Amino acid sequence: MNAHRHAATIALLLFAGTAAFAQSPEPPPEAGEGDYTLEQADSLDDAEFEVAIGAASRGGSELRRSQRVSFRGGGTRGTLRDGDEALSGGRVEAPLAGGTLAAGRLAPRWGRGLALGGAAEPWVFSAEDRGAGARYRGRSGAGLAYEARGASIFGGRFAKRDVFGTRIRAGPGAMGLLAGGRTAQGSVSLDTEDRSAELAFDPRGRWRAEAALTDAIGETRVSLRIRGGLAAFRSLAEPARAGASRTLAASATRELGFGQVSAFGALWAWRAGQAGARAALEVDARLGQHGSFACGAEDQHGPRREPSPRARPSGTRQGWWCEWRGGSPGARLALRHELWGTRALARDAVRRAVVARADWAAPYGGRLAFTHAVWRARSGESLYLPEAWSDRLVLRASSGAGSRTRCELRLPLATGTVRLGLSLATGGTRAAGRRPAWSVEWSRRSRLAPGHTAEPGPASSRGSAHALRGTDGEDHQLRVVRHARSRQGARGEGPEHRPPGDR
Amino acid sequence: MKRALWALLLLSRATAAQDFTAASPAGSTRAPDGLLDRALPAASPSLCATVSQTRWWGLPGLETHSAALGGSFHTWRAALGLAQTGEPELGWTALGIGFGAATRRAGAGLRACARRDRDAPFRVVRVFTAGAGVEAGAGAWLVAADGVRVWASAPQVWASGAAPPLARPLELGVRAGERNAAWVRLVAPRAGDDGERALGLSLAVTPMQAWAEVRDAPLRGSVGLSAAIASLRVDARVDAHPVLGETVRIALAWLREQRSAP
Repeated sequence: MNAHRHAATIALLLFAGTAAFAQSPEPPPEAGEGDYTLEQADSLDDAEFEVAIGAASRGGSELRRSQRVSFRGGGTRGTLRDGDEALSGGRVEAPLAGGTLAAGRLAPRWGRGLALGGAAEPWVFSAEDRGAGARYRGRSGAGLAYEARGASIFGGRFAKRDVFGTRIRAGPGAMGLLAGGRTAQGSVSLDTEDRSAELAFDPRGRWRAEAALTDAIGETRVSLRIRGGLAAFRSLAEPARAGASRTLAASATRELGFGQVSAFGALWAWRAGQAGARAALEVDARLGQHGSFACGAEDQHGPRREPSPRARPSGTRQGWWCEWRGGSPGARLALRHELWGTRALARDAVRRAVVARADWAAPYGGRLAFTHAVWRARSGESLYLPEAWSDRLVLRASSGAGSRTRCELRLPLATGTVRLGLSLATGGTRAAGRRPAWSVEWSRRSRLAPGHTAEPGPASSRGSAHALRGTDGEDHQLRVVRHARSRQGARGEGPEHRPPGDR
Repeated sequence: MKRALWALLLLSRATAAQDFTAASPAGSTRAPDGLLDRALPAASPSLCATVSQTRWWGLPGLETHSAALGGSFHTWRAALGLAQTGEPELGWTALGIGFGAATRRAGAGLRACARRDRDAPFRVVRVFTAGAGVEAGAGAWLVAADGVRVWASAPQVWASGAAPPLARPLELGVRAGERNAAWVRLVAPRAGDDGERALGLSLAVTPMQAWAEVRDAPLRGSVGLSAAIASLRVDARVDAHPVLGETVRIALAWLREQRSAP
């Protein structure tokens, strides 16, 4: 029960944070340059399993085959992958002695994530790929974990070191201990429905503390988050995700007659003299039954990622964006424009992107989607273009000027579903000039009970095996990552990135 | 001379239009130039034939002559066009084809265009041999609300061989109204520029229709006039550029529509 409550608390905070400011996903701090792949949390119902086989090219003669099996039933669940360059491996959970034993890829989270679970970026209330109920399946480490009512224990390889941890919960409170690399860290946390706090510390006196709360003022939903501590504190398990040592963030969301209005603000400091700030206002209006129009403006100052001590102060970025979606379920169109500049009102443009996506219903329950994105980024700037697949979200690193086109066709075939994808990139990425990259995947989702095949359910935000991420796609299918890192000499697309745990 | 003309073309970036653009205002899906040039099929089933002439920047040696045919079968649309630009020693011949489907509420299409220098007598088979420039693109539109049409056109999603004379990136647009209309267009950035934004208005006094459009980077504009009598339509369009001068287009079309566009 406790586990459920903690998961609910995390989900509530996640919702509060993401609803208040529809943050598009972006590569985590530990990600290298190049593309980054986020694995979608599975959407299996109880007593279901799914098999998938696929092949893909990378724009040349190189061919990559992959297999995937996912299952869930009787408390046991898991996903195993093979041949998948970005998401190989897997995770299996099974009930054991009143608890749950997990093996394989792990992404645990304690409290606010200061000691374990990746303290989120200053502008995100909780990391989206850590802990139960996360939107994406994280891969912070690999090992064994056991969780029972009131206690949990794990051991595995995290950040190239062996890390062991144990945690005890009592009511809303919890205490945890991490050990590894000849040192240890402690965590004391408190989680209630709308309050969450954590204090993390190590034997050398380094510490960090964070508190977050969500509440409502009238009809306005507000969230507040504050973090303090020493810059030298680093999580044993995920040192790259330490985040800013001092953070203050707040968001507010209110439903009005025409739609939803959200405001967001954050201040943070990495160390003395290296501080940053962001503020944004976003309006999301409904247009009829299927349409919507959203727009927003944002202002950024200072480094978004932890800079080196000698780094020069980052400049100001101001941006605005707008996005329209319309049509009927049979034929939909979505358009997006985004502009960032170094001066007020996004003048002196450094990044501009235009995206169009059209999708149509095809015969026999199929779906055809066509996405075309064009961008231009000034030298030293880069951006990420999200590309949603059936089971993952690939963030394509882009720089310079170029375009990317992806055509996807989903059709029922041989009691399953086949997905065909064709991608073409020109300019701005290392993939430019290559032959088109294609992918094909056949998957089948079935009931574990014989004689029943799982019916395709309605398209959910997490997607299902029989849905193409919904008829209009998730937000992140169009969103350009608006806050891409600024780096010197940003050029081209590096190799497919794998989280540290995959290396 | 040849280099100067090419430079003018490459510098112009003025109309985002090329061989098969007739003189219709933006957002119009009148067949067949919408399908051939922007992959936007006509909303209404129609049978049409169009001939047009474009004089680029007032240069007598740089003219485009084009002829196009378009037809429909139920919701399917198809168009075929042939165009020649410039004088034999420096011009090119383009063969375009468009295919799509549309209803009164939405449409989508594909287009392809092959170009070949005019340094040898034109034959259709020459556009399929090495040395030809080929491009392909796609477009879609839908009626977002009564009288409001939204479109996205990416006429050069893929290109191979000799580079096309103009880089034509993704264009987004919204148009409110049919004959009395206003529209906004946004052209995505290309290497070396920051895109383009346009605002246009159209007024109709049967059987005439006049329209005007202003664009930025640099600030410039277009005006057009159309007249329709029975199945015949005459379109004229002038694009003004502060440096390059004026481009004049004239088109004559025979069009038989089953129903008027929404």
